[in-house]
Amino acid sequence: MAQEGRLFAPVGEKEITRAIVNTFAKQFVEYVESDCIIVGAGPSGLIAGRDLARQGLKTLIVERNNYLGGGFWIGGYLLNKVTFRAPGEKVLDEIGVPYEKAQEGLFVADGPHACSKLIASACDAGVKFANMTIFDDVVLRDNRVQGVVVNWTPVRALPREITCVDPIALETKIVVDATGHDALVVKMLESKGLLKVPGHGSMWVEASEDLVVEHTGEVYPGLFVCGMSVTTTYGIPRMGPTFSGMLLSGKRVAETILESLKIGR
Amino acid sequence: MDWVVLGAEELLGGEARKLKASIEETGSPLPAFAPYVYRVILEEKNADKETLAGMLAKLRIKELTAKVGPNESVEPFPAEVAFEGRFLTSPEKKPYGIPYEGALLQVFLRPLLKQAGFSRLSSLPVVLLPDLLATFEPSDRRYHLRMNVLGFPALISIPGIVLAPAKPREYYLLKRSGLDPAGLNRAFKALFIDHGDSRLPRVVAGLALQALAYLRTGNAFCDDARCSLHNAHWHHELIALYGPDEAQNAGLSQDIPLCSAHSRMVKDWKVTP
Ligand SMILES: [Zn+2]
Repeated sequence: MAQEGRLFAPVGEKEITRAIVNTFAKQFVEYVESDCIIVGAGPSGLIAGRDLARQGLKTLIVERNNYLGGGFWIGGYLLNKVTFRAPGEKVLDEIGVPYEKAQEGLFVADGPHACSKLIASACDAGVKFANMTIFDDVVLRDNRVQGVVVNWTPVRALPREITCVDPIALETKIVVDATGHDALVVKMLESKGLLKVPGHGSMWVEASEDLVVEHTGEVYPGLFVCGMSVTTTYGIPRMGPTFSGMLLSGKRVAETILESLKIGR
Repeated sequence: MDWVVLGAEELLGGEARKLKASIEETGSPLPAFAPYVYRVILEEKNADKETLAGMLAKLRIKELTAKVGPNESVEPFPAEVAFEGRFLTSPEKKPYGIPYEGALLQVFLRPLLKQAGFSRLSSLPVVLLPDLLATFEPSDRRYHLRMNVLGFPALISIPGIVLAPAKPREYYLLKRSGLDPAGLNRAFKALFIDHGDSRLPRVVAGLALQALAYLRTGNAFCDDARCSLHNAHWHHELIALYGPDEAQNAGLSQDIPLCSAHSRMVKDWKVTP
């Protein structure tokens, strides 16, 4: 409570530090084991996390940047308007983003509004985040992905002689690769000889964004792919920003995961 | 000799009648229309859905610049097989964008179509496909998208008509600069034949005649750029051949342009089977 004559409560630096460390540690310990870890907090990862958390799944999203949202803040040519082909606008309705109809079947929204609402809706649903955190490896057990190994993002920037900063492991039932064209988790399995991923995914053929949604799903026991990492995984032609495709792919992966957990358990 | 177009109703919808009308105008023997190729094959019960879907998944090309074709010994991902399976009998809903190895697809389809009663000597099949087709070009050692693959069976790619012939160079320059493809396609609307274009059935008819010419004479291509049997590499060539889009909307012509030699040839087919 603020005292008379003072704007802010008299809280010292040590109390602030304790509050930060204690709440962080409490959540971190709780999420050392979860139902689902999504790597990448772009539009597909965020909507997938939201849908899973709303169904009661303990969901953690790992993001290497400090900011969430990936490329969803801006559209083409660095302009902050994002476009959606029908039926992508239904997802905007769901998370409460206003939009305009540009023409039949095409809708436009403000990037900052759409992206912040999407992040907020994931938080509201109960998703927790580990940002400034890089994906380092997978936890493999019984031929199944059962977790991820992570580290702080700045560790990557350290000089060679101090790279012995060991990562830590988080266990989970399902891992989702939502890392975009990099498909970092899928590539990690490839480096272990468990999958074969085509070339370097630089095929620029005009393609229907439906392909991304249609190939969204489980790629290895315990590992699911959504968003642009689908194109890299399956060698589908690369495409420009297709936010409807990303949102619908995120929703599709959540549906598939929920189905698989019901069947599997 | 009969010939059969497979998949016209599914892939051209109501426009399939335009395909028939266009071919009729040439005076050549009219083709019979049969269901989409995998429906025909599945009806013969020689193959099960899973096997067909698995084979198709193996024929995907994932890198056009690859020096080698798809490796049939590599097992496709379950999601790829499931994708093929979902659209095996509903080609009109299949999303485009994945190129398939045209020559291998032809080899794969040949025995299946033979079992279904088609042959080189009777009922020649021309297969319309919702997929992109690519074949290896030895001169630059890479794959190229194609509108069609000649031979038995003859394959015609509907999205290939839109994507294989070259558009104006400015189109690709602007595309590489990151412009929204939908907006770019609207801006270049007059300069290429897009999905839903009223000329598509006539382009298909021209390619079907080309396929038939190849199967009968071993020679498919015409030097005359005003003939449908000319091997067009550019959209402007197709547009010069088939005229502006509006002409068709007004119902002015169903005509398939043929040079006099090829016009005579297709009419002769009718009298000398
Ligand atoms: Zn000619």
